[in-house]
Amino acid sequence: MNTATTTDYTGRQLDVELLQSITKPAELIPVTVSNVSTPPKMVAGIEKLVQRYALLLLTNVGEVKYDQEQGGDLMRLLLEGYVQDVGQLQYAFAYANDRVTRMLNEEDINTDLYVASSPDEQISTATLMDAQVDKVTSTAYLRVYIVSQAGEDFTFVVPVTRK
Amino acid sequence: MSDTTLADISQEQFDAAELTLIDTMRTSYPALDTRRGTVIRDLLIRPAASVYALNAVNVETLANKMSLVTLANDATATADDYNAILANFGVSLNAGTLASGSILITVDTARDYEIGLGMLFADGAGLQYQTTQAYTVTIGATGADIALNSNTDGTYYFILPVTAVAVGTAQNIAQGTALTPVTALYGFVSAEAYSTFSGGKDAETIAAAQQRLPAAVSYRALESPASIEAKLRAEFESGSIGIEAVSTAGYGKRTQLRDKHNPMGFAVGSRVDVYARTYTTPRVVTLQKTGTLSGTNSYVITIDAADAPGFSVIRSISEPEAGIAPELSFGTLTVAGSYAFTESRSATGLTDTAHDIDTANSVIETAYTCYQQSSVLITGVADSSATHVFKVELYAADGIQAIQDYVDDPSVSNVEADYIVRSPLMCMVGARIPVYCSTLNVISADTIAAALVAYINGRSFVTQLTRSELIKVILSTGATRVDLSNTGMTLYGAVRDAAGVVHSMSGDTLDIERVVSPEVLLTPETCVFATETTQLNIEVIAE
Repeated sequence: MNTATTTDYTGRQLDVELLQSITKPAELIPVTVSNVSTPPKMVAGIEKLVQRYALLLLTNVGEVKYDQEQGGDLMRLLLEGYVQDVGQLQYAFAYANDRVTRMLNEEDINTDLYVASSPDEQISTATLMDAQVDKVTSTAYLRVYIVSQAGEDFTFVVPVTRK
Repeated sequence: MSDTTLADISQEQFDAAELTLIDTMRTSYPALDTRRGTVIRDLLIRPAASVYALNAVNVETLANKMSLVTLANDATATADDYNAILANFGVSLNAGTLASGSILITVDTARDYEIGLGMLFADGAGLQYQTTQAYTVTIGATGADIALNSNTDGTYYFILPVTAVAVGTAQNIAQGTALTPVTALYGFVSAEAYSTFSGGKDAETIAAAQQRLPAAVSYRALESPASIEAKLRAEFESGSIGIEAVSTAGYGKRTQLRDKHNPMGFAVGSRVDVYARTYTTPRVVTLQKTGTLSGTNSYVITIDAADAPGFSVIRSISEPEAGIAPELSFGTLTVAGSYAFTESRSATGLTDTAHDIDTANSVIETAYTCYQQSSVLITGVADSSATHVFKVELYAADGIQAIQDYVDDPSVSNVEADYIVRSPLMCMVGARIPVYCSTLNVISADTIAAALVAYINGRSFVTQLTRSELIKVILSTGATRVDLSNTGMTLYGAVRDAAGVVHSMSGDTLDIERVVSPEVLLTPETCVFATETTQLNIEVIAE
């Protein structure tokens, strides 16, 4: 259940917003790349966590030169047609989610290299809640429920399209 | 400009660069999150790390090219890279020299042959030689034409001068080596090396160039031994002549005879004899000389000063088309199979030179200089015609005349001293060596011989050559032991002094001091050791 809270992000590490404004929604809204006419914003807190998770989830293994292990294979499996039913989708998501979650955790605990982050920027769990397929647009919508180490939760929809 | 691109950066290089940037960002911009999955990591850190890694590689490459030590570990280093550093010392890598010699070509037809510039001949190993000018071969040749001579079997032959196509000692092929024309030659029957090719030198290694550095950075002038050597190396080392070693005999030296031209025989200085070794493997010059009948079966030839300035020893005298065994007789220093001959050397050109030469002792004082000539009486010739053509092979260092001209140049010469340049006295070395090796690692005699030839020809102006130092060389090739018993390894040496006497040595050490005779210029300071592959009898026994 989403509750409205106010969090003080003073002194936090920031990232550039990649996904459209990720305020905690009162309703489900698709997450897309920011409109280019919109000035870039900085994100922190749960928004940054969601952005990191989504970016890694949507990256295929081997796509990033010099970081071949980054990401999961969810996108590749979906776009190449290996997922034929919900069961296979859940399996593919679980595998990718496990890789991404472990990757985020490894980064979070590496305080030798990075500044320690606050618990609301560290992932606890991510669960696939639902999946919808729009055959007209060849797009699959994955509804993911993320919980941070601080207990904050966030639900967002990740669109995966062939176009 | 380096050829390294972003595509050449390895994972390790990138990781190191990325860690450096993240650490730097953490210190300078602690508010920016650079963890995986962040936009800053993808759009800022990763591209910057690639460029940072590329710069690091280029800097490391540049740093490696600024030191001879690190350059030696770079497999991609070129001669230009080395020369860029050596230029700081006024030195450059010697690119090697071309071997030259003559080919005896037999043809089946008496006609004129036009041999073009660049005509190629090759031996069985693929080594190529070419003419450096066009020739006309004809019977009754005149001027620059080459004579076509008849053989007794109905064929005809001519002698063609050629030069190797590539640099290197491998091109110093032995006399008698079979060659074939690369392009067709009308009437061709056969071809072989008329004489042992010489003058070929490998491109200089960086280690050898490094050994020249002390002389290169030293003061260069015709003053002290070190400065004289530096002066000559600076002038000649990059060219075709090359300076392997230099020794000087000045005031107070036991072989300096020219500064004692006074009734009391006191040394007064101002005279310097420069002994310059310009060869590694002894250089053989082949001449065709027409002898004049001087008695029953005897002919006289003259070897003029210009024929082979400063020549050391007559290697052989034979019929023009003869190919005789190259092994030296260490008693007389001539090749077995050569005509017997008696040599009488004398001085020439003394009236045209300002150099101080005692005419009463001119044979000794002009020995091995460009003022030396020789009259040779050849005996045992089965002929009684008024003239007879002979093939004469000499051991003659290259460049003695050029070096003499250089030290005589008014802009170079020492205004207080009289400098004469000599070819060093050459102690020819032979050896009989039984060598043992493992059956699991059989070493070829050629490999051992090549290593010994390279070592012995590098021993200049030293007192002795010993078995123990040669054994080290042999064992470095992979041999396990050398027979040192009474019937085992034996060294032979022969050196001709300025008076023409050949001093022979044998045993486990060739010690110049044992035969030293300063009055005929024979001392370790004037003498170099030299050998050829054909003088080493190596038996390899696998056990």
